[in-house]
Amino acid sequence: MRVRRGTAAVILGAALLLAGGAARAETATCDIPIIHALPGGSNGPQIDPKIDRLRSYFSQPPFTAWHDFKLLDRKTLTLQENQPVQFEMPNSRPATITFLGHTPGPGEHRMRLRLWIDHPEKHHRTIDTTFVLDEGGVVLHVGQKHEGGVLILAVSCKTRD
Amino acid sequence: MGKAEDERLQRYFDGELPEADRAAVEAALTEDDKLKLAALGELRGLVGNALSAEAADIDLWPGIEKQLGASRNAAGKAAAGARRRWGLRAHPASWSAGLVTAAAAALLFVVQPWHPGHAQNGCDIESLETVGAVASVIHMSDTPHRGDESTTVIWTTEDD
Amino acid sequence: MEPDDRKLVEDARRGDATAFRELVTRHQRRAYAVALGMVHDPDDARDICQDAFLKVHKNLATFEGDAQFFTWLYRIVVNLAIDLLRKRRGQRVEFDDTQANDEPDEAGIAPHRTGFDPARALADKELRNQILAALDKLSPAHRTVLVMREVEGLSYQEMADTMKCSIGTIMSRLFHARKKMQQLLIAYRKAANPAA
Repeated sequence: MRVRRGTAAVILGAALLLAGGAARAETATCDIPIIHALPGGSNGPQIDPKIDRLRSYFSQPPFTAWHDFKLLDRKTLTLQENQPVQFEMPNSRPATITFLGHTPGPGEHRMRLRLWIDHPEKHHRTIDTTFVLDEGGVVLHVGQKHEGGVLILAVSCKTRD
Repeated sequence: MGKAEDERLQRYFDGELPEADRAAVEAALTEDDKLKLAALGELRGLVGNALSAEAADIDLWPGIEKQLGASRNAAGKAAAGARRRWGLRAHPASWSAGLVTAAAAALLFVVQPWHPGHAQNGCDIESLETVGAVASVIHMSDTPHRGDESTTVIWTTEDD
Repeated sequence: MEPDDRKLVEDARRGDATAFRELVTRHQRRAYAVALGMVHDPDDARDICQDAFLKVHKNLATFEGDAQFFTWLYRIVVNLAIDLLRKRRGQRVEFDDTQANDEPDEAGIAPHRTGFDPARALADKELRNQILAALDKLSPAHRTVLVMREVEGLSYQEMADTMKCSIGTIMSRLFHARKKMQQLLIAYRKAANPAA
């Protein structure tokens, strides 16, 4: 009897742990500044103060190919797990981001996210990527052409319980 | 209503009037005064709530802890360096300054082909597909001043 | 100083990292709100607050406890924010009130509310962005007093001590800051709802 009770306690404890894990936050809030990088100029990069966090990256290669970095738009999106959210880029291309949930492991939350950008005229996705990002970490997507320069998406997300 | 009266109303609103003056102002409030007080209250709520909400999720400790750890390590190395240079006109301040400069210069810029499951700097790329474009993955680190700042750059170059 | 703040400072001074962490946890949101209000950029505000706490940590031994801990901290936050504002503009930051107060419109406090619901600011990011954008349009001096007053509730005397100026100057800055914010937010409201 004692052994069975002990076993039941272990099973119950494990179930509670699993339930606790399953009950973790199912939403993520993503901050996505969209930056326009333009060439030209000779006095060092001109970086919009609103994106000062990214200054040290834009001051290094390969971003030294551009001179002006201006914040064109900023998306603040609340993502429900596995529900894609689409937003429009300044070049009119639709981008879609999906929060795919947490990854297991110790330490800070890590989130799985998927980002794709469509090319409506050519009916395909230019890029489709799934990545795992630390809570509050930032990943930059660069390359969409726009008005003589390129667009930079800086994706940073965090979860809320 | 003149500026002086408005300033007095402001002091009343901010609770900065002596008790006797406060009571006198309160007894003499006009409807216009009450509207102004309501407007000031609304502004206080807007500014206070906006900034408080923006601060709700802030967690400074990880960055602070990292800086404190870096400071302790640098201080330890500087102390060790000073001891080694004893008798050679050691300048502990310049040692620590040199260490900080060296650390600040340690910017990493690594461009590499993407490999699935390649763990890097807090962002792991699980899959990456492109059509009509070529993609590169770049891992960039920041200076120690900004703490845990590093980023992964996914660079796509579209075919013309 | 609150007894538990004093105890935490004493413990932190003796090297108790947990005590220092508690001080950070206890005051970080208020510090960040003030910094954000002054410099607008979230990452700059974060850096300022981290630097402020690091300065506090470095100078714990010299803190006499004759002032409130948070007053000490916020003074550092404000000074760091002012330093950043100076660096951004590449010149001396305008704390000269004669220029900052040079308003052709001599109207006083507006008796009209903006129409924005303060409670909505807690949940509406777009509204918060508008408020922060309006704050950003104020001069540094006006923005500083408004943030200290509306976020932190500092008294005129405390603000005067922090900014090293007279109470009269504080009052004047606050007056003009509120007037300007009202004008900006009313204009935003009208632009968003032209039919209203």
